[in-house]
Amino acid sequence: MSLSATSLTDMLCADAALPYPRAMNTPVEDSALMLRFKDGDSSAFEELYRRHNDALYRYFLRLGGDPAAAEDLYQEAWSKIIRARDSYRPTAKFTTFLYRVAHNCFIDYVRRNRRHSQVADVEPDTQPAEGDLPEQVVESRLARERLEVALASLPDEQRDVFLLHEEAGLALDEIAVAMGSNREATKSRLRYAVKKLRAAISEPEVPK
Amino acid sequence: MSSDELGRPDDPVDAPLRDAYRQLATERAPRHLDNAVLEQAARATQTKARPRLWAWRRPLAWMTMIGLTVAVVLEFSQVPTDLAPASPKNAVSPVGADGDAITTPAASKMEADKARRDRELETMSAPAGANLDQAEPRAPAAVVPDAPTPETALEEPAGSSEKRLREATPQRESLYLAPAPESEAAACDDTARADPERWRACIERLVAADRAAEAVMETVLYREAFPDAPMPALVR
Repeated sequence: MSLSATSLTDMLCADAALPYPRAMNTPVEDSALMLRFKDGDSSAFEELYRRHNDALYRYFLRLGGDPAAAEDLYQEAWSKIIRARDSYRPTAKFTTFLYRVAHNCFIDYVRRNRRHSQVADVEPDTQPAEGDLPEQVVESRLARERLEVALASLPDEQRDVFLLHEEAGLALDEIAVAMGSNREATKSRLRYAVKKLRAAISEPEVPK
Repeated sequence: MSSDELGRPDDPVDAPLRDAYRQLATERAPRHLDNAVLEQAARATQTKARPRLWAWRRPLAWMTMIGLTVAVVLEFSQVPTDLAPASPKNAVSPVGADGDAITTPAASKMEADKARRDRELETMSAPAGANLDQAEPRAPAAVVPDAPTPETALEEPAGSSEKRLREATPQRESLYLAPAPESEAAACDDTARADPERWRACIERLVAADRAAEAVMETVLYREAFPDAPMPALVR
């Protein structure tokens, strides 16, 4: 059964392989595991879960900025994946499917909490507040902290695109599918996000 | 894939930024969430999956209901057809004014026999060389003792002749249809009936003795027993 499911998934997702190495396992194997779980194999789901659990948790943690909300969203997303196993079709990468569900969970969370939507409409300050940091602090730690602040200051859409790219390892087209957007908008958001984050981790200019 | 596609050397996320993010993003999913999700997945797989046929329950229900409806409609629409004759052998004979139908082949045969006997009796009562239409007014003369002869009928008024015919016709029909009494049927004994010549002579004696009813009944029996034998002379 697993062999046939793997073969089917290979055929359906053969063109979906990315030209660069990914942190996650190949989506073909993910889809096969999901099909096995669909047939009642709980161990397949456990393996699939171990591949994506930490990345998905960090996605929610960075996206919402609230650990409690991240846990709720995390559990809600996996519950939807479990319930949707009967209707799952390996027509796309499992990672795209997983993060589309996760993105929709976050959108629902934003709609329930207006604060996020209001923040998304406002262009945040691109310069993190790093002036109060002491000079003797290690530069790497400074950079991480500035990145943390800069990432939290990004608009939700830009932060979402960046996290889908870095945590989920999705390409532009896949990010567009997961977010229900188009490729050009996704590309633009990623460029803006990267520009702001790169500026944040750079050594701040000392005003003369 | 275009030049601006991610993962290429011109990937907008450069190495310093990626490294910084990797150093930053080191959180792991809480253990209790892992347990909760995996437990939910295990429960989902332990739940007995619905058989694939379960998805057909609604179409099957509709198909069954439609089939039963069609069957009932066809059953009721065929009820009159079932009462109708299935073949010409079982054709309904609308005999009688009350609409009682005799559907057995024996009844049809009885009717055919009766019609044949009627024609034979009319033929027998008619003079030789005359057709049935001409013999019709004369038929009562064979069975009615005081029936006028053609000569006397011409001399009598037309109304008188018709009156006689009206009076004679029911009597003739009653003779045809009513069973003969046992005493009259025994006018010719079995010995005479065994031989067509003797039976014919017996019938002619009955005619000569003006026992018309007995003569007719004996003639009928004679005809049935010996269909090829010569007919007796029923007219004096």
